[in-house]
Amino acid sequence: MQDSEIIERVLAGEHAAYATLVERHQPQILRLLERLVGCRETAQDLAQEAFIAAFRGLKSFQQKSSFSTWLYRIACNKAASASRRRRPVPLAPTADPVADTADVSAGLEHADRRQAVEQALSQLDERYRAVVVLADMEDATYESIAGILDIPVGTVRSRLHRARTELRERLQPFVTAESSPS
Amino acid sequence: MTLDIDSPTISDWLDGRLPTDEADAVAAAVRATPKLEEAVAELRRVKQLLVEAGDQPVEPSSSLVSAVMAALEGQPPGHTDPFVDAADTRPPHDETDEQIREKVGDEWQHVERARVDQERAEAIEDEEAVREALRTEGKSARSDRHWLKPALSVALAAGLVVAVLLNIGDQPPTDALPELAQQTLTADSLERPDIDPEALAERMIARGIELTTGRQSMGTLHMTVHLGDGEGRRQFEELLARSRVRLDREETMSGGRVERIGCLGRASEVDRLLETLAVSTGSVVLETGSLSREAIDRLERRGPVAEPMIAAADVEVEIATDPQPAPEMIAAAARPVAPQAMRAAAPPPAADSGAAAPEIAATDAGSSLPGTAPPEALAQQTGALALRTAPEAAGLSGAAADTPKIAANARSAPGAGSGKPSMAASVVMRTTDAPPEAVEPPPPPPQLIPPQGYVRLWIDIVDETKPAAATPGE
Repeated sequence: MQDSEIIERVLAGEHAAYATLVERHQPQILRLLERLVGCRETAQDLAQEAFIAAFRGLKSFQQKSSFSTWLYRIACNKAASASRRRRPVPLAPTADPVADTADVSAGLEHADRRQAVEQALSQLDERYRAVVVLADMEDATYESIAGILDIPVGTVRSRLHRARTELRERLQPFVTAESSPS
Repeated sequence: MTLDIDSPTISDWLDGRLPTDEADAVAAAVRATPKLEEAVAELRRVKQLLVEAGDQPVEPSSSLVSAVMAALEGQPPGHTDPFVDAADTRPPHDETDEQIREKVGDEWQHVERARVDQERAEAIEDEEAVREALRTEGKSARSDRHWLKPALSVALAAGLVVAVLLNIGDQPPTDALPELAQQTLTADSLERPDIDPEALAERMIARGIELTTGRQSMGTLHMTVHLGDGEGRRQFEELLARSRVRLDREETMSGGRVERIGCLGRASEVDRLLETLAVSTGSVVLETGSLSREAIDRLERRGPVAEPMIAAADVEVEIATDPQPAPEMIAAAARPVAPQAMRAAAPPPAADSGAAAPEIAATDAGSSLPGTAPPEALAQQTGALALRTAPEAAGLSGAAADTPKIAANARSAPGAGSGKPSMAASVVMRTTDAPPEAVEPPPPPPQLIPPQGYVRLWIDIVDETKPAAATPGE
């Protein structure tokens, strides 16, 4: 069943149908929020807030964009508000799946890199973080980022480049030619 | 094609968004500059790292669905939103999202420029009317600004608590600072979950409408930059280009000798620009701070300051990169170490001022302050604001002037509380060409401007190579 059909049913009074939408979109929303706020628990709280806000604002959603784009926008707003309230906490290092199958040192190096990326992301201005996460981690196009964040494509361009150049400075040990990721 | 690593075209190229001919030109430009080639390779690795990190799976939450549904139990979804019904003017649904975005992307620049021009023209026209009304009637600036109405309507419809700050004055920096008309609106709550209040305010500000949420502040800074030659201009323009403040107004005065530009930016960005200017001009940093009487009165009424509260609007700043300093500055510049080289000059307080004259006023303008004189000491002795200087350039190693202290100093400014107009004292700091005797790690620069909020920055660029316009009586 399409999202739009579910939304019509919810608006018609069948509130339980909303669970299907939550179930369907929660992996992407959780993943996005985790990238944006750098903390699993906070991401879960914000995802919950985002789904609740979306439900409450469902009548104002005119379906001119897809439900997922609208939901992404709400999630980004939640992340931005949370970011203003408190500094993001970098994710604690976790066991890396690579370590099970490959050389342990390579796995550790991989985990180091990932942790460094998460930390560098957490230090970015939230405006830049949202754009670079959507572009490079969520593989969103400039146009869809513009739709999600409600900013012009030109702004997406400039913010994305600024984000990458700032990350380049923060990740210097990992991006120089000698330490290039394999 | 000339490119540098700060150009967004590099990312366009890395993301494969350029047409073939342009991509070829970028590739050639990158290959031609080894340093750029290396930087681009690093950017490519950054992207690779991000993609790699993005590939890590995120476990779905087993409890999220039930938590959301439990929270929503008994609640109806949404309600009619007049903001959407009235304001959503996007194209009809017979186009795909992709087509709509492409069209918007293409037309954005043109439409936005035309709209901003129109709003600016209306704002200028309205400012004139408001200023005239203030002159003749002394009323506050709640005017019939055409652009203000939609802005306030939007804010009301969105249910925001907003403050609209209008910068009425375009007076030269030597005049009293412009009054800010402030209006605060209160409504129930934000009913559009997909609209972030601060993002909305930011967009409004970016469009030249100075709309802020209640959590933000807006102030005005005036700055004068004296440019001695073409190189100075080049350096200054480069600094501006690198900064994140948005240049949105421009006019020429004094027969082309003074160019005034208006910028808008987050306070932290403006602060960074000021710091960069101070540091980069090195031995010829000159900062002047003064308080208008209105500012002093406002501070008096405000009472004890528990947190940084000096609005940027209370301060006038002058930074000069003057290659030919005033005579009294030359002697200072000849001295070896910053504390001795810092000079203070304060006009005498009004004769009928009831306030105690600042200590420095008893001395000749241009005389040295004794001993070490960090900014806050200068402020105490002159009764004026101490502004941030370039600590490393000035060789300052002492404590930075924190804002609450500055506020306390400001309240002791000459004329404060006397109820009579008086010129505020001013502080002039100057550094020397000689290297400091002992270089200590510079302290973090004190922040005069609150770190949050937006600042309207006016910069008067004085071209010293052009003769000054004759003033009446000369």
